[in-house]
Formats: sequence, C-alpha cells, structure tokens
Amino acid sequence: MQETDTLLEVNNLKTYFFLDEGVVRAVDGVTFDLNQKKVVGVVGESGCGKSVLARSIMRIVRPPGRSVEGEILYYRPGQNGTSEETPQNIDLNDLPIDGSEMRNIRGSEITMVFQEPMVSFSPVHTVGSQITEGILLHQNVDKKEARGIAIDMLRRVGIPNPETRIDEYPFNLSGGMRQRAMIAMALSCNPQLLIADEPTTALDVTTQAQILELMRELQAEFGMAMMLITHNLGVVAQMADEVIVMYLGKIVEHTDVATLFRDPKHPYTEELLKSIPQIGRTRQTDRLTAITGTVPPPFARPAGCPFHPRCPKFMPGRCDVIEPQLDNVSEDGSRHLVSCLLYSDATAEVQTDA
Amino acid sequence: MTTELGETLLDVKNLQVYFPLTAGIWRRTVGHVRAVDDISFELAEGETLSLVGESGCGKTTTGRAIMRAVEPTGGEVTFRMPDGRQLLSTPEDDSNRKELRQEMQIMFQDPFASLNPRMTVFDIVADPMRVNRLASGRELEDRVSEMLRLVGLAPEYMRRFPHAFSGGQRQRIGIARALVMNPRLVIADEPVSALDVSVQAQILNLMQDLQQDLGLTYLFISHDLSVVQYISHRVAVMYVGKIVETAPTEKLFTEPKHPYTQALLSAVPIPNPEIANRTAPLQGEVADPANPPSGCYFHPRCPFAQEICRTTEPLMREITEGHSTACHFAEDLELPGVPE
Repeated sequence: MQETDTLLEVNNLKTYFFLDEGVVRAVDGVTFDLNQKKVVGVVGESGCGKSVLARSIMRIVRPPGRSVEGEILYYRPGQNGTSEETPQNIDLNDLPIDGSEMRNIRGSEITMVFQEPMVSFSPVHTVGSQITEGILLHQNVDKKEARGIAIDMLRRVGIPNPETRIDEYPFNLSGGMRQRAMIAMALSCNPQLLIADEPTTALDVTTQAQILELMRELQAEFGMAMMLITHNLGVVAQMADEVIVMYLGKIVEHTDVATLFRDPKHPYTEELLKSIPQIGRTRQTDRLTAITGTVPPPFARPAGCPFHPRCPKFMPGRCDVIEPQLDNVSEDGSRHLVSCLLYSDATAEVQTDA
Repeated sequence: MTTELGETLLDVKNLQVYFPLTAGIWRRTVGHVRAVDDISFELAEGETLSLVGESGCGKTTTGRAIMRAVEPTGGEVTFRMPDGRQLLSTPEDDSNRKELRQEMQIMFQDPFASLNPRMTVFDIVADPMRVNRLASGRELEDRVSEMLRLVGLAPEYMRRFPHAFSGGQRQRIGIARALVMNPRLVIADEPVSALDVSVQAQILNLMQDLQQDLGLTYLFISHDLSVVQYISHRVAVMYVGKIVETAPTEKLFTEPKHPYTQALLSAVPIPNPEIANRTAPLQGEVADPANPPSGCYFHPRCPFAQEICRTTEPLMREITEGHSTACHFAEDLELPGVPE
C-alpha cells in the first residue's frame, strides 16, 4: 500500500506581506511534509501564520502578500486511485497563480473549507449552483449529472432533503448546515488534500461535535489527507495524527499527536498546554499558568528565537542571538522535530560565532 | 447551601424577556420570541454563577435584563444593597434603576467593539464616574490610575487610544471600566471568548484575583465549558430560554442529571488524544424560541425521550441538595460526567 507515501512536501516556504510600514514575514521558512491519508493539525495563536500557510499552499495569497521563496512539492497520485503510474510531482509555488494548471488543482485536488460559512458562500447564488460550478469546472460531466453529484454530496454530509435544499440560498441554512454544505463543496471533486481553516470555530459545541464527527467519517471514507488549522487544542487532540505548532511564522514543534500531548519539548508548546483549562481536570481552586506577555507585533520580531521574550527557560546570550533550527529530538527514530536551543548542542556555535 | 459564601446578593424570580415578532405594514405583533422564559436563580455574595448554553439560548439576554439594558417582560429582580435594603426591580417599577446600576456592571465579549476608538483610555475608564458625578479633576485621575494598576496596566498609557493596545490589554481596560464604580455584581458576558488561549489564562486569573481582593460576585456567561469549570462555583445550564439544570460545578460536571447537560459536556473536545470523546454527538438543532416544541423543549433531540416528554413540560425540582433539574427522568437516568 502507499499509506506512507508523501503527498505534500513544503520546503523553506516564505510568504511575506509588503506593507507601507514594513515587511510582515507571515510564513517564514516553513518546512514539513504530509503523507497521504493523514490528518495534520496546525495550531498556534492568532497571527502565527497558520492561515497564511494554508493560503500559500492553495496559492490564494493576495497582494501585498506573496510567497517569495521555497517549494511546495505536490506528489500527484495516479488518477482516480489507479496508483500504478509514478506520481507526478509539481512545485505549486512555481506555477502561475492564475495559470490553468494551478486552477485545475485548486478546488479539485486540493480544496479548502473556511471558518465563516456565511462569508465564504456567495449570498446571491443558491448552494446548489455554487457546488455544481466546481463540479462542472473540474469534471467531465454535463449540468444534469453535476446536479446529481451535488445532491449526492449534500446527502453524504448529512443534509436532510438534499433535493430541495440544493435550490436554497446560504441564508436559508443554519450555521452547522452551511458548514456541511461547504464540506460537500470541498469534497465534490474527490480531493487528495482538504485544508480546513478553523472549520468549527464559529459553531456551537454541539454543532462542532457533529461537524468533527462528519469530517472524521468522510476523511476515512474518501481517503484524503487533511490539514486542520485550529487554535483549539481539544479539536487537534481528537482529530489529528500529527501536529505542527507554529509561533510567529515558524514551526516550533512537529510530531505525532500522542507524543505532543504526552511529552511536549518546546517551551511554547508546554506553556500552551498548561494555559488551557482542561475539562474534567481543572478545578475552581486551581490556577492556570498563563504565558507571560503577548505575541509581539509583526514588525518587531525578536532576534534569535522568536519566543525568547516570553520563554520561562530563556538562556541569555543564546536564545536572543542564535536562531534555532528544527531538529529531530526523538530517541526511537520516530519524528519529533523541535526548534529550540535547549535541545541543540549549539554551545559550540556560540563560541565560533563569538 | 450558599451559606459559606455569604448572603444572597441577587435574587431573580420568574424573569421573562419576550421580543415581539411583527408582520405587515402595520407592524402587527404576530407572536413572541421567548428569549428568556420564566427563569429564577439566586446569587450569593462572593459567588461565581455561570450561565451556559448554545447561542440563542438567552444567556446574554438574561444578563442584560438584570442590568435593564433590555426591558424585561415579567418577573422581578431583588438586589441587596450594602446597607441591607432590598431593592426591587420589576417591569412596572424601575425607580431604583440609578442606585442599582452603580452596584452592577457589565464586561463585554469583544474587546475591539466595546471600547470607543475615539476616546482615550482615561476617558473610557473615567466615564462611569463622570456620568454619576462621583469624582472629578485630580481625584478622578487618581481613581483611574488606581484601577489601571489593579488590572495590570501601566497608568502612564492612559492618554492613549484603544488601538494602541492588544486584545488582552483591551479586555483589561474593559475590566477597569466595569470596576471603577466599585460594583458588587459584575456580569461578565463571554469575557474571554475573543482572546487567544495564552491571554485567556491571564484574564481568567485576573478575574479570580479581583474576586478575592474586592469580594466581587460574578454572573459569568459563557459557552466554553472548560472555562466555566475553572471559574465558577455553580453552573446553570440554559436551553431555549429556560434553565434546565443548576448545580455546584463539581456536581454538574461529574453527575449531570439532564440529558442536555450531558450532551454539552460530551461535545467538548478533550485536549488529550488518549481520551476519546465518548458519546455520539447530539443530533438536530436548537429549537426555535418563537415556535418551541411541545412538552420538554429538548425532547426532539433527546435520546431518552418518552411520551410524557412530548406532552408535559417538566418543572425545575431539586434532586439532591443544591442540584435541580427540569427532566421527568432525572432520577432514572444514569448519565456519565466528564472523564477523570
């Protein structure tokens, strides 16, 4: 089987926003790979670059933002599961944003679900016309067949009476139903990769539980990979196979979900996990460990390790000077990448630098 | 049951807020949205009571009706003043409004929308004192500095405008504004929902410190049950305008008696990959408060619903001491709480 095959490989991706006030380095040298059929969670606080990372992969970053450097290698599996052919790899970052090749991939092989289901649908078109539009663009079918596929997709995401619902407008649907329709649209072309950007943040907990359950089922059924962007560590713990933790445009930790929650290595991850009230554990008499300070403004990025001004394990003279690299700290050969000087034997470097 | 916390500060009885639905060119009233439908609870001095529920359940309207920021349709609210007088506020009699408003203040959810961008921090925090003509000049300035220091902000920044502050700092400004009048009851309406997790912890800790130092009483409105478990002494769960369960926090989380409470608890994703969320998610959607179902409002979504649930509305009744619920089968159901 090709279960461990790489689907996406991102190398040193940099997406910058060129503003009058200066350059905002929203994604600053991100490297990771994602295997087929895996769910990777991307977590971090607002402004850490997780959404821009997703948009960079989709190639929908708008000016003044631009991906200035790096590769996004997409290993395209054989068409429709006939995996006999050798995967054809494409550097998405090399394709013209509006070119036909990118447009063929976007919305069909790599699709995206956004946070606000009300904003991400057009309010003046029916749900059905918006879903069939994508199907007609990417699949070789006529209008009638496309409508059939759309109805079938709506049924599979659990919308009752899809035959009549398809002709309704987004405002006719509740928040949860709208997010279901969004997912139906994203899955209608059998994507290889679904990027979900805070898919449940705008929803109530009970609706969130329904949508997460649905996404879990569909991910297994369709066998696609999923990149789940969220700030909710509970959602990540329940959904993801692997987790990427981002801080100020950089990956600070990347490992499998069990290791991350059991044995976090980066001080930022540790502090983040300590700062959340955990249902069933946190008591009224307890005290939360808050991370001191706030995320620095984008133009005033600290030198060295970006987390050093807030870090409880800050080592003066090292953390504010040397920029740490992602290193594997795992002892059993699995993947546990951490970008922290605590775990690198960089003492030698300091001396040579000095 | 609340003796260790002090006397009853706020007593809400049969509070109702109905919003009329109008139609036609004459704006004829064709029905009512029962946003808050006959709810009662007490709040002891120094206590934190959380109101939880999904959006549209009426938790925010309850808070606002107590403040009389929206006019209640029925019911009465009694507040005990420091000198022992019991001030009553009913839809018909609002003569105590001015005195009551000095004792109750509100904290809002969105730190970006709730501060006027054209007022300086000083003006924002000083405004309640000015409106009530309680201080001016040097005295007012000292009071504002004191409040800012209390919430962890440097008073030197008080001539700045809100845009110069981060979300967490803005929420601190909102807290300073709420506390400048020395209120005894603070209605906190989702005060941390718009904040990042690391900042959320700072604000929650600050709220707990202030409660201890100033003896504040909180009515904490939230949809986030993990935050609620951390901050509250007691919890009241609302569904479509009604309270369906109230209990001390521990009790509610470990031994829920109402199926809706249990569904809410099990829907929270647990930040631990080794504990899977157990029960299947609740099906269906929240009932329409303008056209609620018969009997128990929760029956169309309830996995335990029986004939009686469709026909008869369950009333709130005490199951064990301090633990009340509105469910016909509260004694018979064995509902799991949160793990651990």
